[in-house]
Amino acid sequence: MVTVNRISRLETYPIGGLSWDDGWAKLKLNCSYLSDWGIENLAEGLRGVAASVVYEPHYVCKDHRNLFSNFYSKKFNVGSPYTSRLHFFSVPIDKIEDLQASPERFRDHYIGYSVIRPVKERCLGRTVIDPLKLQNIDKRTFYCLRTTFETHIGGRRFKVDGYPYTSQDGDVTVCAHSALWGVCRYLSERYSTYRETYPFDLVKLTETSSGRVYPHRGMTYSDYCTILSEFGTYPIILRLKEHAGDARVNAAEFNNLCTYIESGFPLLASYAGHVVTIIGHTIDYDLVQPGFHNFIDSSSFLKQFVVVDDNFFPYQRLGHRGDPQNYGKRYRKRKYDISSIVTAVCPLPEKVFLLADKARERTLEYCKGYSKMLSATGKPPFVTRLFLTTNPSFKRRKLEAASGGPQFDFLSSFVAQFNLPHFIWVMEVSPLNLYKRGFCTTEIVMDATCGVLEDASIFMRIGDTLIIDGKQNTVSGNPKHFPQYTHNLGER
Amino acid sequence: MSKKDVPKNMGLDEFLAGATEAHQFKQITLKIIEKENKALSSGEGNKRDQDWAVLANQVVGSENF
Repeated sequence: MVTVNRISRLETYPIGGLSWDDGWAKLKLNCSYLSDWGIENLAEGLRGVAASVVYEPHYVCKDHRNLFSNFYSKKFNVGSPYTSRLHFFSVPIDKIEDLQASPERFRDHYIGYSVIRPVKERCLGRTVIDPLKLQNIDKRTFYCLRTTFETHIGGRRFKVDGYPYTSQDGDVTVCAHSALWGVCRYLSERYSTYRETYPFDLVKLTETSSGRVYPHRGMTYSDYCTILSEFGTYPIILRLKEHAGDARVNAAEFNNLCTYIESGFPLLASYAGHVVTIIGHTIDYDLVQPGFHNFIDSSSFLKQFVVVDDNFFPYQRLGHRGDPQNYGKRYRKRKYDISSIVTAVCPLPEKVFLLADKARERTLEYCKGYSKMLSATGKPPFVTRLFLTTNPSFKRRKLEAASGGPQFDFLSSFVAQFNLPHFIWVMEVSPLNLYKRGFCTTEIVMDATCGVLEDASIFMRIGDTLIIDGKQNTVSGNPKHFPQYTHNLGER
Repeated sequence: MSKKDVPKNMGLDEFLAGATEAHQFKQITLKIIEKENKALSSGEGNKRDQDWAVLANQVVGSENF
């Protein structure tokens, strides 16, 4: 019979500096669910930043309880319906009473939390860590999806901005479930349109025509699409390789993948047999040098994808082959790198009818047609950056841009007056030198709710000229460049 | 408009009143639609259906470390 202490005090453990190993060892003595694998992964990610852990011995985790009710409770050895939870802080906490008496002293130092489940080895349940508080993250070049999660510690409210992670338990859930759960939880936490989904919901939605779905069966693309559609998204599949063994990646499809990442969608990427979620990227401006190209896609500056892989601490970096930071080389049997991605699934919203490939084709036609005017805005090569955004976000950024510079940008404020569809494609174009400084000179805005035979163009701005409704006008004296639309992944 | 005349507020009608026809833009738009029409009638749009036929029942993720 499972018993639980009604008096279950929070405890704090110092893990900063010299007390690192000792602190984790002491914590493990009390937190019996914490496995060596759990410690190894948490310690790897939190080394150098975490100075104390607050241990919550009995925590009712909605995700674990959902799996317990539907699966673990049916076993002879049922385990526990309770979990433990660890909260990480970057400053020492001497006594829990200090945290309860003056929570404001600790709020900025809250790194995040991890639920520790009573399962074999893969004990890390729902875990939310703020990546910008970790070591080895260069905030200038690191772009990653985050959303706010609220927690309560001893009656005090704390907030953490991060992407949800869980490990697979290897019993009922596999990597595909962990990745899908992360996508669904991120979306439901960020947007009220989506309902909260629990791990066993994903298991139940797995197709039964291939036999029993648990314990431990991999998912097919049909399963993916069924689950994501039931959840309320409209998934599309990007096929980067014809066959898993192909060395070459379809460049156009890779650009589409980068575009969806740039647009703020978490993408489920398959390495042929294993699934991870791509939630962001890092960039390196030195990857492209001025040359003979006229147009360069912004994905050329991609250094690494930021991924959530259930086998490791979240926010791993998937680099190109030979990248010393590439986490994929740590796999024992098979090494992974960016070229290992065979397919990717993007959970698009319903009303995005014009897809990335078509939006790119069309916007590039306008760029080529207006190359003479573009040349007047700066020296080639020109960097093109395509992304999807919403009408309110776009207008908010435009209004910020209008009055954010040394001179009022009338055209940025003017386009915020337009009646726009809910989703729009935006292609920004910048001469390379301006792109590196975070500016662009041209933008083309298209209606993402358009059909393929319709005119999707809404407006095009080149420097101080605006083209709209089949007419164009130049506003002399208006700034000719404006800030890029950045941070659309929610990373700031 | 001169530099000192850069407006703070102006409606679309006012903006369009001083505008010229964007012939080039219209031509590019026509070209895009024509291209899409041709692609539709030549069946080029079936790529996603073909991909789906291959991928639908493939297992995407079951690997353990």
